[in-house]
Amino acid sequence: MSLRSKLAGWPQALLLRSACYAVLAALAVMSYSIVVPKPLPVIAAMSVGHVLCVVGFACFGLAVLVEMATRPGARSSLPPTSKPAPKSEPASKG
Amino acid sequence: MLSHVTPVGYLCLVAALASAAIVIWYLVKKPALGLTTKLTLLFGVGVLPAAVAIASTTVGMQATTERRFCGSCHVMQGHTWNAEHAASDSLAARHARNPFFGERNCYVCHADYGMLGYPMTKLNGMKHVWHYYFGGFKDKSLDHAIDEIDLYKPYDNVNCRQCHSGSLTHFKSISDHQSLEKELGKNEVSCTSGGCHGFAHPFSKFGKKAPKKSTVKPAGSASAAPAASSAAPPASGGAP
Repeated sequence: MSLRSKLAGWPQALLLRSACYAVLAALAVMSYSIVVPKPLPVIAAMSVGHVLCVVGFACFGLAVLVEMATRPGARSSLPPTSKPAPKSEPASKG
Repeated sequence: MLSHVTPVGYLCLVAALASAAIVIWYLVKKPALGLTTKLTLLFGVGVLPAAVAIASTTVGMQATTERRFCGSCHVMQGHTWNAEHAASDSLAARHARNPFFGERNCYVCHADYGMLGYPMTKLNGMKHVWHYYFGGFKDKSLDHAIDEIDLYKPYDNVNCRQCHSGSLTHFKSISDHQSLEKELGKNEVSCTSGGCHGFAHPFSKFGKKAPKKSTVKPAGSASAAPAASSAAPPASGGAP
């Protein structure tokens, strides 16, 4: 199974929602550390906050890849699939 | 509540609000994933949170250098009250009144210097947090904690000599400085010892030298300053 077909099976909407929730949590933790600059909030912002931020952006990036994988004919930036596209279709479309 | 927030902190909060607004808009409205939506989401999930992460780290690291931050653990409040009390004449208090130290006097005096000084100071700070939450200090009263709190290693004279270089005539003219030059360089004699410039936080020495008694009171208490400063031997004023 190629990477593209694997990615196509991922739920894009769920990934985007997860990204949003992770980023919202990260923003809350980081903002709290600014309003209440005490040891635990500051440590949490620099650890949990940053991890949630990265997770959120990773989910967003995955959602972008999923869309690229499911978009018909758009595969110039991904590994080729086992089924090549018809010759009449331009390879660089999209 | 927000009086301590710096301009960078306010920018960070504004960016966080903008990012949250975009994300909530997407979650509530569920718009079609057109180019505009994707670009908006890129800002809401990527660009703005990254800016918030960088800014909050900067603000957080700055906050960790302030006396208020050190005093936010109750076991350190004796030290911070002593340093900021207007009537206290301890070494720490006299330095705290100097604008160069100011609100950052704990950090300026206790930070490690040199190439790895900053990360080592922060690692030690993490050790403090560990001891506070998992080493039992969180549950100790201030009086008990003051008796037990001590530096991990003897106070390094190098920290004093960041400012008091010892190269000027006034410093060299003191006979004790001349006779103890080697010992001071090797940390065998501390600048902040009882016989020299006095303990930086003299009240904290009572429990280690004499029967414990409550000597630390919050700022504003009439007895706090005399008690806090009574153990400090006369120390010379500004040094070169």
